[in-house]
Amino acid sequence: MEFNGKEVLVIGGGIAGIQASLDLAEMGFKVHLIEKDPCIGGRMAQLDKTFPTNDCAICILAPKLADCARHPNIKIHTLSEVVKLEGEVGNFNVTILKHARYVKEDACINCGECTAKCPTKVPDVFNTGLQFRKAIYLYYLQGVPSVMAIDKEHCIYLTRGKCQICMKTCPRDAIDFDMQDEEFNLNVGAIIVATGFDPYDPTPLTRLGYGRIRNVVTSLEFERLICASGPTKGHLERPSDKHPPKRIAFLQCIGSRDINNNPFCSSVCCMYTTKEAMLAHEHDPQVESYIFYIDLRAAGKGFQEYIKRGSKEYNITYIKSVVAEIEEDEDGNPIILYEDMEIGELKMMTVDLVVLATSLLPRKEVNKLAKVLGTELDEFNFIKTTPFAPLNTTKPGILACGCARGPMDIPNSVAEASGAAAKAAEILQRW
Amino acid sequence: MAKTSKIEENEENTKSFEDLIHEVHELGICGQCAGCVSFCSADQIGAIQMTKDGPPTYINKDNCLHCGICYLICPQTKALDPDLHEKYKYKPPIGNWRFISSAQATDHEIRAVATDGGVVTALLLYLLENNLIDGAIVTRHIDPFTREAFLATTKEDLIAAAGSKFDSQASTEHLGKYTTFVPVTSSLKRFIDADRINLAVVGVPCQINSIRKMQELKIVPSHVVKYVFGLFCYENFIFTEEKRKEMEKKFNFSFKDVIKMNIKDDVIFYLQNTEPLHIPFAEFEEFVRPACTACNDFSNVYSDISFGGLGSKDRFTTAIIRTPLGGEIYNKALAKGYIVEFREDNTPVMRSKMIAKVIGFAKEKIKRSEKTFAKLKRNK
Repeated sequence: MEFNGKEVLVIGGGIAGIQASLDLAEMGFKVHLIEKDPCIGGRMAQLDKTFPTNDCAICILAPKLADCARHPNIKIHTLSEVVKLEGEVGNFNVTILKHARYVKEDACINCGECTAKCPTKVPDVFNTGLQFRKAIYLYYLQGVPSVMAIDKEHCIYLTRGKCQICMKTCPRDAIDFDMQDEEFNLNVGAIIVATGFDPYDPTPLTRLGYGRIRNVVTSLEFERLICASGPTKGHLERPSDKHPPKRIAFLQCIGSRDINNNPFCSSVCCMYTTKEAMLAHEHDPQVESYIFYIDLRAAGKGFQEYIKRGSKEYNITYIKSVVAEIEEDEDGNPIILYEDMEIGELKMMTVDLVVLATSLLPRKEVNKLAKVLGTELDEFNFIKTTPFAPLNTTKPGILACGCARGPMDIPNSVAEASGAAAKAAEILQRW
Repeated sequence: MAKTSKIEENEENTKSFEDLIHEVHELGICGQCAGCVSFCSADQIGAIQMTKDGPPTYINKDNCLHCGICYLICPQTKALDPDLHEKYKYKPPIGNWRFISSAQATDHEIRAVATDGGVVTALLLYLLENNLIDGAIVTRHIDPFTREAFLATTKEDLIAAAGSKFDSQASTEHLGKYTTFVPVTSSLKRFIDADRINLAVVGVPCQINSIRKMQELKIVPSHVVKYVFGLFCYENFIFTEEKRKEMEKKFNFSFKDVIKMNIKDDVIFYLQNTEPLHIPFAEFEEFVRPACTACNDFSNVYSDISFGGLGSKDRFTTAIIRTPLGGEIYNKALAKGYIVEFREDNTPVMRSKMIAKVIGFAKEKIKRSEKTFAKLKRNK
């Protein structure tokens, strides 16, 4: 569709932001897609499969990433954030801060010469720190734009003025250490906030042993561990001794439905946990899974059937329970102490691996963003919207969709994104 | 071209291997710790290499990328010392420490081969058996006077590495290098591309110094090193055939009778059929590796735990626990019975005596290093 002269801003390059951008671009609007990471893709890119179809997440996502990159009406601004907003609906003046990538996006051909030679190895954030990456790196294998970025916190040249090995080995002269962070302005008629979520960090729940017991991992770590492009190439291994786990416990509502943490339900954990248990069983039919839940919340079409299928075909046992504590035995096996709520009895179970279903929280940076945008947050720090205008924020002309306004699954995020895109189009057409 | 001129400009300002040759090698103070070679990513295309009995050299000067990292991580340049001092809360003369103890391995096999109490081997065994490491870089004898660094992944490997045993029966004909010093660091090189591996490294102060500097820069292959065990080190000796003959003559003994060698308050040769031969360090000076006289670290200040015989009675190891990580594994190994401490060796009085001894040697070494540098300055 030809550019119709009107511009719109989408904040967040995850599945919601991508969908909203594609919809608007197809309607002829010029879309500026702002992403803080070096590549778009967001949380969905970190997942192995999606429920309830168990489709490969990146296989669904990658074509959309490519569509975004190639669309003449979409301009992707990576490593960028919104720092200032002036004006009002129909005429917003937005200031974007684009952090230096130190690699020329139009010159880098992603050949990998630089990463092979870069001497600095740091924990790989995309892989939840389960493996290392170099200081010059591709954010993830299928990342778009598929160009390198330099981690300025760890690059030896940027921190100590030595090295420049990447610059000396790059066959395309794509490395530019003179690049500076820069600010630029955009004039847009509407804004869509699709900043997504951060997973809860279970370290403060010391009784569960995360960080202390090596075979206790979070669900996002589990997604990376079981993913073919992950640190173990998809061979499910437990961290302590790299043995394939045969008995896996999944603990629900970690950091959610808990008055000491976050009282709300994360809405997707019962489903994604069932998915993860199914995947483990598909990898190794000997795997038995135990899901320790408070309530099974499978509210969605086909979801209850999915859970039934799990217990029938995938060796999953659902245990209505409250977990008190996790200890570790001599061999590093986690021992779960829990109350079986069906019979009101204290019990113990030793497993090979524990997966904590960590809840979906608002992004840590959301306070700052809300302040810049002048929108309100709700009591949990999600972007505030109202029940009968669920995509409208408190400021006219600014819309929100996906996990930025509350925990939800991928299909819902996509549906909301399309809804927000339609709403934005309506605003843009009027002004 | 803009790029070329910018690189050249930077290369002029970047001290690299050439400067190491001028500032370290030519002064004779290269410790041959192999930090530079183990790191040098240009090594794949052959920039620098270790030599048999001298400092590392260029293989092909044109391959050097002038990145300057070898200069940064060299223990003798002191370029990153301020960073390490801050990170490891260094205070002279023996660095930061949490507690000191005298301990012994509980395993008989380990005790039988250990130089002192076998605590290093016992702790490595604890780490291995509890899957905290995939292996440890240690050294083993390949002949009576030569050790090589290797990756130990089993208890048998660790036992092969333990102690400084002298096997007088072995043939000495094929010996290449005669020294008590082993380039531990260069054996890390094969882990440049490894990702999910944790290793423990046992080394002398200069080796640990360069490993810690590499970790400070987060450069390969130091990312695989999880635990750093340091050995007390006053100096290392050169055991070439020539020097050995000189020693035999000077101290009136035969290497044929040497069962075992140890370095504590002095140099000790355990001999067959006679009392051990104790030689004061002062008399052994001519056999010291020259680089060791420039080093000012006796107690291995940047390690997680430092070990040595000094301060403990025979068959026991003195351990200085420095980092929280070191404390954690020491205490766990103690609780799990890999090592044992006897109360009479660990009274407050005994412990202060131990630390006083270590401080004494540390101060001596600092003094000697200052003297060496003063001499080098004068010669300049």
